[in-house]
Amino acid sequence: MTKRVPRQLRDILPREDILSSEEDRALYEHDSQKVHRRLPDLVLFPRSSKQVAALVSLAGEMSIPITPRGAGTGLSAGAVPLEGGWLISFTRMREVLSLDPRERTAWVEPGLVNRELQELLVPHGLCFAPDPSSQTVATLGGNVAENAGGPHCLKIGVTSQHVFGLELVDDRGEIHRFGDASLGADPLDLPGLLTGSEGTLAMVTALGLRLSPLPERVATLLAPFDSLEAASRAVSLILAHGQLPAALEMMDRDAIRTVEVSGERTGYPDETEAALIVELDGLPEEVEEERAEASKLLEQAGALWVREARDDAHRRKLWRGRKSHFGATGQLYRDLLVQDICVPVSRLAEAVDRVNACVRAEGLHVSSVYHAGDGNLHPNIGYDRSDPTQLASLHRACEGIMKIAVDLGGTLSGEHGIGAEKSDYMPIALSAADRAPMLRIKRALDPEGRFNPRKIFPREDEKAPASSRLTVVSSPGKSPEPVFLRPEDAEELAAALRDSGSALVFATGARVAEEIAPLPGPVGRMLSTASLTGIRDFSLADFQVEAEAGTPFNAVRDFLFESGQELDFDVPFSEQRSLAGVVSADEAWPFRRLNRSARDRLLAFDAVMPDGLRFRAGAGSVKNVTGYDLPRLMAGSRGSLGIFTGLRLRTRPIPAFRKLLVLDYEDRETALRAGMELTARHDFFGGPLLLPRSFTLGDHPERPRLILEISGRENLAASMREKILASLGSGGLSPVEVWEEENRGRVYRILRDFPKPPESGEVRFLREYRGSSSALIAALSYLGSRWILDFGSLRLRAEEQVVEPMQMLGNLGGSLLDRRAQIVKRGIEAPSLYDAVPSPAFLERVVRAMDPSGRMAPGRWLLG
Amino acid sequence: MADFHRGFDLLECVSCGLCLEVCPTYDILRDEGSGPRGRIILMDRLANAGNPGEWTHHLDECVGCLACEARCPAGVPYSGMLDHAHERLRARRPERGLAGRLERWILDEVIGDRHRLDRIFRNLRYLQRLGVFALVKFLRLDRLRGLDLLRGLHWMPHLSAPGKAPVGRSEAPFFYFRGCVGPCLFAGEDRAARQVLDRLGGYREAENETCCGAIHRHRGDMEGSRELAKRNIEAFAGTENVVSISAGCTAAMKEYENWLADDPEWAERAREFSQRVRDLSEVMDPKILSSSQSSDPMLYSYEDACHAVHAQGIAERPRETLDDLGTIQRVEMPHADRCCGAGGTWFLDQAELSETMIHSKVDELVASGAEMLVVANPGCRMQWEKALREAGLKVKVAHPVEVWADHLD
Repeated sequence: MTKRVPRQLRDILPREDILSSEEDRALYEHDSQKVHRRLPDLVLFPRSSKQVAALVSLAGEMSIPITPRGAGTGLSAGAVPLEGGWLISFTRMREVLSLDPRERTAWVEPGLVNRELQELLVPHGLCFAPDPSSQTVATLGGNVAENAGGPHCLKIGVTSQHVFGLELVDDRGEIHRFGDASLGADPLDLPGLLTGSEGTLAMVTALGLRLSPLPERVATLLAPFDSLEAASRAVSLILAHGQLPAALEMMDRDAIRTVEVSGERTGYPDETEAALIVELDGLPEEVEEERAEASKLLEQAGALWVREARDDAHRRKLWRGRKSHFGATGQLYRDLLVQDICVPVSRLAEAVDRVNACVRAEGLHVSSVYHAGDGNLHPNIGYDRSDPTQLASLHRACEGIMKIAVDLGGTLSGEHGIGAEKSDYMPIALSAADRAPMLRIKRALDPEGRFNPRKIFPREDEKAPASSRLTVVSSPGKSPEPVFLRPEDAEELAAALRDSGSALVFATGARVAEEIAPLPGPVGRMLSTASLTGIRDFSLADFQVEAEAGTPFNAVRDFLFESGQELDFDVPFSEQRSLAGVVSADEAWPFRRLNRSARDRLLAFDAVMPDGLRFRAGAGSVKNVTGYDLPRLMAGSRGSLGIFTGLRLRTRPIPAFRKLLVLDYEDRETALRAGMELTARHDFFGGPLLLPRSFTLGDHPERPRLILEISGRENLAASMREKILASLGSGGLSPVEVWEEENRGRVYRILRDFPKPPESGEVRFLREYRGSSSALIAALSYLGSRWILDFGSLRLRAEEQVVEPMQMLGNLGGSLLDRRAQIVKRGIEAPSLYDAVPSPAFLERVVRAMDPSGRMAPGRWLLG
Repeated sequence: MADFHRGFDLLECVSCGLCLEVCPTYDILRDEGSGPRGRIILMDRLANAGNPGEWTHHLDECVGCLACEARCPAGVPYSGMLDHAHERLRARRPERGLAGRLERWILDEVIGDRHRLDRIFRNLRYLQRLGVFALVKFLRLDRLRGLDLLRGLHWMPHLSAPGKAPVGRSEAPFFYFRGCVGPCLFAGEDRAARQVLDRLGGYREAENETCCGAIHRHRGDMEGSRELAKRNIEAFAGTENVVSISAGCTAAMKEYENWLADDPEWAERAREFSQRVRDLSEVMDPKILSSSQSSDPMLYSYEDACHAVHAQGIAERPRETLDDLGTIQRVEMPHADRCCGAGGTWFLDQAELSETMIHSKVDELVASGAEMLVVANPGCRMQWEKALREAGLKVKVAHPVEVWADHLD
């Protein structure tokens, strides 16, 4: 039946961008999951943010639910319009809005296909790291909605680590844009919250993406095993050895055979029980060493043989086979469902066994592929849709798989999302209290529930109370004198929060009241987590540590040191700081490595909401798309959304060496351009920092200098140094002198003694100024000699009395931060897309979702 | 493990969507109905639903390039399904009016009769020389209702007389399948093919050769196509390989075994025949070619005809034989295996889509810097030549066999 198209809709979209016939609507009944189906009333193809905004407004007036859709390759029925209404297909909204290879950023529209972006990037030597198997057709908007992973997110992180900004249309039809092209994301990671939110919070209309340099050398190893267990053991061996391959994939016998009998003919070892693909990338010397090592480890674990991809064409073929697996399974089964759970990698072998047994016990056939390095399992289950008993078996098998995942410390979805498929399994992983903060965010941003209805949340949540009711015990403004409380445990902390009525609350970590001066605004209560200390759990095999929130950061560091591990975001001057303090400030200073900060390492946490509700978020797996990404939102939230009581973080082996490389220059301008050049082309080092001449270091204190941190495998220092100098030499930016600072402590002390916020100001900048670098130099000279330019996180720190030149710099394309780390001014000359318009209204709604009365961390954000 | 069933079953499609990457119409329109995944659902409905509704236009929009079938990891037999869908559609939509009757007449009476074809083209050649076509185009008669078939004149190449070529022998290692319209449109290709085959040891012709049936099949005339297949199988009785230079024809003849699989009388003969069908590039022996290293080789680009690359997997070999000549140097277009939008007679029905497709191809050709485009199918060649002519580009278009013929040792 052809649906009637409302007249107002015709005013928004031309005829060819509206599908109303049954013929067309029928094609949008399902995505690649196929179990859940529902016809949309209309399928709409907006081509601009303005059209999306108009559609959302009209849908609001007419009370019509809307469901976004990309290429329809999702595997959790996320794009099925469960309540009918309008299906918004973003496939015709696919412009590249800007691409800056030097900045390594791009703004694109959501309908652009992942592969199409990659094709544009290759000539620039860049890529967009997430590479889901569907990347040849899946849209980037879909990748962001599901927080997609793919084989290559093991080393470099899932989609959320590569999204710095978003433009979106909220439920009222207003367009917001946020996110900062500089590496420090906004203090509150709104892109992180939206990424993986499956279109349930807003309609995303543009994506600010961070791009990565293509690796210089890649080696791909293929190794068959005579059991899945042996292959799993090899995975553990490689990781335990400290290697972090670019990809570490496993396939079982049927999966290999499925690909081999398909048109792909990849050349996988056909008659073996399991195969691993190990891909190593990085600097040539690094890859050489790791390859030899990995081959040895594979053989040690029982590989029947180890072969390497001959060339790029062969490598592409191996990956094409792997990425065609899902489709190829069509030969095997009448209908097919792909599951997606993620467990701590040490439990991989156990998970494989239990999942296979669980499916087979239901009389169904299963064949699996695994992002083994991530502990991410994809059992492919065959069934017959027309047979009700098989459908029931399928449902039981899936439920069983979910229970296994949670039982092993993992989660319901690593990269496919919850969608319609797993919403009713949510209580298996998350209690009502754990879901409460998510539900509050959903209700705050989409009170009428019109964005992608009936996804993520289980049916029982539809009836859950709308928001927390605050019982006000004391009258507002009653206590001008701050009360300092130091609860003994999480329950006491929760009670203290509940009891503080409407008093303004400031959370502190290890510091005591006297140390927090000046106080950041009027404070009723100060709650310190200093008494919550101790390591809760440490798993060397999984590279995870969990500790109480108030545990001194240095204590965690010392503890990990014993096992040769560390937290690989840099916080060298951390005396008197708690673990939670560092994470809630999202630290990564001074040598931010591989674009990583605390936010990228927080796996799970316990926290108390402002109304005293205790909840836990995240899981013990490294990938997790089970509901909203609260760890990303909370890391960097600076006590404004709730108070941490415990944190679980990813650790890394301490590298064999870590050195500071100092490049001396005669003049600032050359040093500045050298810093830009290095960071535009590489990201294997930390920093660099550009220091003016006043800092006493080395034999020539009069020189401005760049300081980089290099680290890695034993023999790599020389080649890293060579690589850096070669890059500079080719651009005529060679330093006058290069030396290594053996005593890192000396440099750290200098940096530590430099005034920190709030005594200093901070400007975020872009690598490449739209103006000339001499304009920047001129501005820097106003600052005298008390500043540090940090290319690692693209920030300039300077003493606060120099506000004017700071504003000048802001005009050059950066943004100026005040003492609360809040952006107060954006660059006006920068192209508007680079520096997004701040959206305090949207920010406020997110903050108020968690803290309706606005009493946490007073004055932290510029709201309203 | 479960059986790997490869039957003719629509349910094999799991909707993974990998086909969308290579579909030329999805690339332009970006909706499900314009891609294979959606069309498969429509074909399923067409086969199974009582009242199929307005199903037709998405299936008509499919150019039939088969890129999706080649890409499909599950081996969904898209082309077979599409043919059957077209048959059903045709049954519900009989040809109407003058154009319909003309089409019927061409398919039934002309295409399969090479003597009649030759006569018609001789007349067309005179008309072209007299400037009649130019006049029609100038007066825009093709824009008149009912005369839209005349739009085809825009694609008409300069027709030349057959010219002298080595003649067939009674004993030879190859049968030469000449094809129907191709040699009439591009007499030079036919001549070159005869020269090359002669050097490969000689060729025989089949007196009763007829059209391969591909056009009939794509227009849903399954019965007509099977009849032609049978006539060709009889005409080419023997053990020699049946060689053609038209990718569309060889692809179709390699399918005879499937077309006639359910016909007990013909199944075996069809299977035997299909095994003998070869594209000329498959039997080409580089030894008959002279190579010389040129210091300033002409740049050429190779366009894969859909029915060569997707239907027969022919891509590398013709490129290698050309590269080995030494006088020309290959520059690849990024999407050399993407359809140019000709699709037999599809370009007439779907003019707008077809234009968009060839325009992006022309852009890629220009970007490649090639001075010559090599393509092994007459339909593709017409589409390219027209587009290059209209864009005012001086890129030469040739069939690989013509390049080989120029380099015979």
